[in-house]
Amino acid sequence: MLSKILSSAIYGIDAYIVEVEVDLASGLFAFSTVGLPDAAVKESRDRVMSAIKNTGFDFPQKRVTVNLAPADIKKEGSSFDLPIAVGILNASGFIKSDKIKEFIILGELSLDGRIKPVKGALPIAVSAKANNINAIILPSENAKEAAVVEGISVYPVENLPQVVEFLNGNLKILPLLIDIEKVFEEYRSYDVDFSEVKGQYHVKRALEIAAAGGHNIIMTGPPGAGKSMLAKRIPTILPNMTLDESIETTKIHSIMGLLGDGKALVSTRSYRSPHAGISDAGLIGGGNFPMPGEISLANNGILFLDELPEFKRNVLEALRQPLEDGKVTISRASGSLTFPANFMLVAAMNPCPCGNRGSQKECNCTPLQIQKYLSRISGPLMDRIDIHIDVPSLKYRELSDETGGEKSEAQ
Amino acid sequence: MSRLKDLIVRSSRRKENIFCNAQMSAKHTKKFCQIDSESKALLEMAINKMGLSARAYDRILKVSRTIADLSGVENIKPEHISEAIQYRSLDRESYI
Repeated sequence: MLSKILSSAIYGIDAYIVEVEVDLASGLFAFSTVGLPDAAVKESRDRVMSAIKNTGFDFPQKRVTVNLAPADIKKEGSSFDLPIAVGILNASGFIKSDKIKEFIILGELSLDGRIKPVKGALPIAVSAKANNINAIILPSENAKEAAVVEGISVYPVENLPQVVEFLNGNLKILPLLIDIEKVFEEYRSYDVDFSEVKGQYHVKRALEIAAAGGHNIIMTGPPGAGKSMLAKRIPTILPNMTLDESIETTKIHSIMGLLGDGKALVSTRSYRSPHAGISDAGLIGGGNFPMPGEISLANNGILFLDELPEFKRNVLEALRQPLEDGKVTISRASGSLTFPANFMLVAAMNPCPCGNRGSQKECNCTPLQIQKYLSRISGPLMDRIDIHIDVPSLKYRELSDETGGEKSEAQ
Repeated sequence: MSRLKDLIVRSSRRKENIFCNAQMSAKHTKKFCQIDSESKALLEMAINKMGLSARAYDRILKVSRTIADLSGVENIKPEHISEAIQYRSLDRESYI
């Protein structure tokens, strides 16, 4: 018995359709998966077997061959569990449905048959639409992000028996519909506001200019002057995201599994502040199978690098090309992928190693030390930063001022 | 602060698919960042004295375009250019 189920996998920030073929042949029991599966895909065999047994179905005692086509692209992740299980149940006669090919099916199985969330539901829904497939069966946690794509019926499911009953026509599941406009507006508020920052009016002016034009900015100042606090509030004065920008950024967050439960869209500007110990692959993206890095997660938002001179030299230099182009191309043996990286760079640093130069506190750094510290940031990188601004430490009078600054929204 | 809703990029630029001034290409800077002779003299002095690169020149133009947009004027004025120039303080050799 042969069964074919449609599923999908991620390649870069897009997805492609994968045909999951399951063949049951007579012979001694065996289970083999072909089609360049990685470890997580190979392991699905154990999850699928347990899930099928533990939900009351019989696992066929035959030779089971699973083929993931196209067979020449490496398959990653656990999202093939559900299509493989459905394929086996279909081939062994538990699912009798001719509609089965109208769906893209994805989901990770738990041993008791529950279905767990997967990564990349949004790009998969987009590619399904492009391939004229208009129904998807996926874990309920991922349903909202997939439902953003118009013209696709998204069927959220929670366990394997539910899928079997649904495909057999014994259970009705209503496709999830969401109001994009409403979802887009829902999460559009920030927890912070510019009025919380006291004083620093000239810095706020510079930040306003930077935010208005998307210019890169670096703040120098002693510790405690408010550099990080100011940076955190830049997204609140950036123009609202457009829906297209939001979908582009959501795609990246979706394939990294960072969207969070029940969230359909990233509707606020992203703010990423990686620690100075980050590697170049972590920042610009990379890995055997290239995955997006922090700069792509910061797409259409802010990348904040605190303590800029503490970053490794090769990491900072890797920023140069994406800063110019707004995208980054990562080439590995497995292929070359381009990720969007349209971000605004916000950096912060101290004026000298001890941090006190230019403040009331005494600075003990020698000119040589200072020069060495500043030279950790190369000229070419500095050249790409448009606005350099000093953030002095605050006087008591400014600190105790209760009137507060201008609000982010004020206009 | 002003939440910068739509004022930043004027419609003429939006038509060319520019969503913020930093995205302007060389062609666009030439088109949208026209400056008068006084501003040109100012820029020339800055570039010579501060040893700015060609990229920095382009970037100063874009920043001054943003400053002009924020103050709601059509043409970039010398004061916009000078504000943009003073934001490049770390390029100055005198910094250390």
